[in-house]
Amino acid sequence: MTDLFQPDPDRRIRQALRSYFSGPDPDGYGDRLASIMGRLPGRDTGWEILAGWARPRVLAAAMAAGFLLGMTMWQQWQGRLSRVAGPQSPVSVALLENPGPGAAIPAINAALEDR
Amino acid sequence: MRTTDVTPTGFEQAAQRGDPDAFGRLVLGLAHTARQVAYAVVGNWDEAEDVVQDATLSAWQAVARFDPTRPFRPWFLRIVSNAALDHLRRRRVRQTESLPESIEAPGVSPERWTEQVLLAERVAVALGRLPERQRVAVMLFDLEGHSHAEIATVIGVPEGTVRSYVFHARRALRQALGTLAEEPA
Repeated sequence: MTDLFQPDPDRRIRQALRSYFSGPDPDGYGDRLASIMGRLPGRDTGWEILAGWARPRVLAAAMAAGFLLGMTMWQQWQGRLSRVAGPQSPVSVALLENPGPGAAIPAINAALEDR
Repeated sequence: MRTTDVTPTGFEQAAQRGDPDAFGRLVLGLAHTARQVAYAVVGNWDEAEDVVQDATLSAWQAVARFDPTRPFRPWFLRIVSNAALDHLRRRRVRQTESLPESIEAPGVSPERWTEQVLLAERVAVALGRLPERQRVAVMLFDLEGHSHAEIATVIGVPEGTVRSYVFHARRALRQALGTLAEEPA
């Protein structure tokens, strides 16, 4: 009896398998496969594969980066505005909004008096 | 003799560089084994051919990643095996108890024909009851003469598991063949 662990193939089993695995129309099958070989599509290069994979991600990353950049610039602009306008605006606004009689600048008054 | 044993050195490298002729020669040399692997999984010859065609296109697209210092055969058959398993997962086609198409046209005596039908039925039933990977393993080992290590690469399991697969498949086949008279050599 054949050892089931034997390294060599079993002849009877091989015969049975050959019967089971002898597919139909081997020549036609070979011809059909050969015809596919004649019209293989262009093979993607590594860069094209990477580009195809990366395109939507790059777009999303670019949009996110643009959004973050915009937010940062807007915040910086707001900060600069507040630094410029912040300490002076109360005085200026007060002068503009309430230019009372004593609000004129003394130097201007002195110049007018000299005339 | 297996096809890879006579494959001239250099086809693998040319195929890996994208030479369609070299790739075609390598694949066509494995065409029948590839169809048998696919059939062992999906159990239908038409679908097996579709699987091989799909696997061929996949292999062509992936051939740049093939290591030409290693044999092409297990690399390609693994793609076929995976494609067949994917196909099976999608379609769950099983053909466990039908006769192989190859013996539909008898050209022998009625006694011999009956014996062949009996043999084919028993083998088909026994193989149909095996898990797909066991069918592939025993087919590659006992029909195609692959080593356990090669089969391990093809079906993606350890070599010891392949030995176990072949053992169980052989036992099932021997039980199926048990009561039939041994064929003359």
